[in-house]
Amino acid sequence: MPTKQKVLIVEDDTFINRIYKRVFGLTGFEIELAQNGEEALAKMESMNPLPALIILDIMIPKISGFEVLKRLKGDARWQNIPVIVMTNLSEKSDEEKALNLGASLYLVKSDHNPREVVLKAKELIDKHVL
Amino acid sequence: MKLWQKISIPVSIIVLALTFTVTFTIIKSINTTLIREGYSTINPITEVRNVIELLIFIGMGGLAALFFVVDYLIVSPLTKLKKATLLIKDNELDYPIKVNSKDEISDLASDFDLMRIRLRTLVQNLEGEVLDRTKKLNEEKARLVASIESLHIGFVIGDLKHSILLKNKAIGRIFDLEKEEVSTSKLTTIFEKSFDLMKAIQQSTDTKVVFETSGIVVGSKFLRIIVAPILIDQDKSAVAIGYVLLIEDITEAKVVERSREEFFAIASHELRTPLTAIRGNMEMLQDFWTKLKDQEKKEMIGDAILGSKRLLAIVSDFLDISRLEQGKVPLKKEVLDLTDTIEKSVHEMKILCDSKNIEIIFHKPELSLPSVTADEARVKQILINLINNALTYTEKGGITLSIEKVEQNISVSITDTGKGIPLENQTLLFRKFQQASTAVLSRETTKGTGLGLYISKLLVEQMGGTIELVKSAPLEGSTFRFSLPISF
Repeated sequence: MPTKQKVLIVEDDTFINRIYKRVFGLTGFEIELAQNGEEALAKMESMNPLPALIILDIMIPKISGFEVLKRLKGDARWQNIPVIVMTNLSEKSDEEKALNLGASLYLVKSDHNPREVVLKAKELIDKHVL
Repeated sequence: MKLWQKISIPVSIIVLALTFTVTFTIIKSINTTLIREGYSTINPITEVRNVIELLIFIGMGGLAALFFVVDYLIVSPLTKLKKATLLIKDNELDYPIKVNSKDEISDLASDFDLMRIRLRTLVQNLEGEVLDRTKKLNEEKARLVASIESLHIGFVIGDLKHSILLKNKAIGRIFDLEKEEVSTSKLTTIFEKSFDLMKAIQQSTDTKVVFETSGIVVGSKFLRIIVAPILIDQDKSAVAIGYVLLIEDITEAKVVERSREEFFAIASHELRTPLTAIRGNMEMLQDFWTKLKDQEKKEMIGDAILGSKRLLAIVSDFLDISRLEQGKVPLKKEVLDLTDTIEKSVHEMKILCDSKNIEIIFHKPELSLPSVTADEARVKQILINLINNALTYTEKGGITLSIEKVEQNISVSITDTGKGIPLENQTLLFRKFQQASTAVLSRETTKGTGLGLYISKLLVEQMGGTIELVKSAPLEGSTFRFSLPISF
């Protein structure tokens, strides 16, 4: 059996990160959790192997999600890892900003069924592996 | 009598002397003739001596006479004239020049006097004009100063060394200075603390063009400034000698603009977050029912319930705000001993504090304090909000509550040993959606809606009291205080 693929979830809201931890766990992924921007970048430095996908919230303590995204996409080691920005900021301008910074998807949390999010994540990982 | 007529007298004397000389010569020639004819001669020596004596006598007299005559006729009037001109030199134009000699000198004097009179008229006119102009200038200055003073924007004239030459009252208001504090040195210190402001001034005086920006932050104020260089012509090119600085306090506008911009974004975010928890858990229960263990199902249902409670809390915060802003919240008028209310609130919050290892202490007063008239449930809401905030931002140490009578009010203080509030965030603290950290995108969303202090402020004010941040320093903690008036 192949080793489980890792997903890094960057989310400070315990209710929400519990949902994603659970749904990705149920669908065969290994989960790493970071509760703020600083922790997310530290986890990236120490994770081995690197995650196959990153779920990133925007409104998080210490370093904002936009800044984390900028640093991920500005680092040769990490720039190819697909990032799904999952936020409850529903402004069009935020979506454009995230996509311009290199996010693969911008999803408004409350608008998506967790199972559907996993399906989208799998699609992205497959596309990336191919 | 003209001068030449007067001079003719000494001249006649000289002529007389000459006549004697001629006489002497003639006598000498007569003697020659007398000798030739055998007559006794006239003794020329005696005669000449007589004549010389006579001449000396006459000469001396003539000289004295000449001296007096010259003095009387020329020197004295000239001295008078000289004195008069000296007076004119010293701007004394009121003394008439009068020489009674009735000759050219008196003519000259009267011409001088005419000149004096015309000069005096001229000077008087000039003085009048200067007075008039000065008065107009003073009026102009008064109008200008009044205009500058009446401006609601700050007005400063400074030089290149940043000395302040002129400033108006609005400056004091903008920088929260007491009347006696609006000194030049104080302002210079304030200006020098703002790198952006100094840079703007520098840029304007360097480039010699008006510079305008809304992006200046001094302390907790947002400022819009216009810097205009003061230029003079020097060697055919313009040189800056200072600047005029207009300062407008746009903190209020900035806050309103920011609140309006952020209101919908944040409101929507705050509502969506608990909704996500409810929806996510429910859908997962539906999708993965058979895969989930009972314990997991229980947790997920619990999360959905907590999410709905959080949603309810936010919705009621929004409703509270909307009603409070319109003054539509009916507040009970209960006679309260605030000491009791604090004890109840502290008791309620104790478990939460204990779970975070934060000590909560209430310094109960030894003597009972006068009661206040207020809505107890709302006072508790304020207290719990303040304790909650203190707890949220305190990682170690404790929360201390105290109560005291201050004039006609009962004041309650809540002090924490938390991370403190940066100065630039302090003015915004009691606004909608503001938290101790400014950056919206790194808001600590799980730590509340950012509406608590705003609601507390609305509530306290509607109960006739005040709420304020007493002091706060980074890493040292904060003290909030609210006061309610004593019941009659």
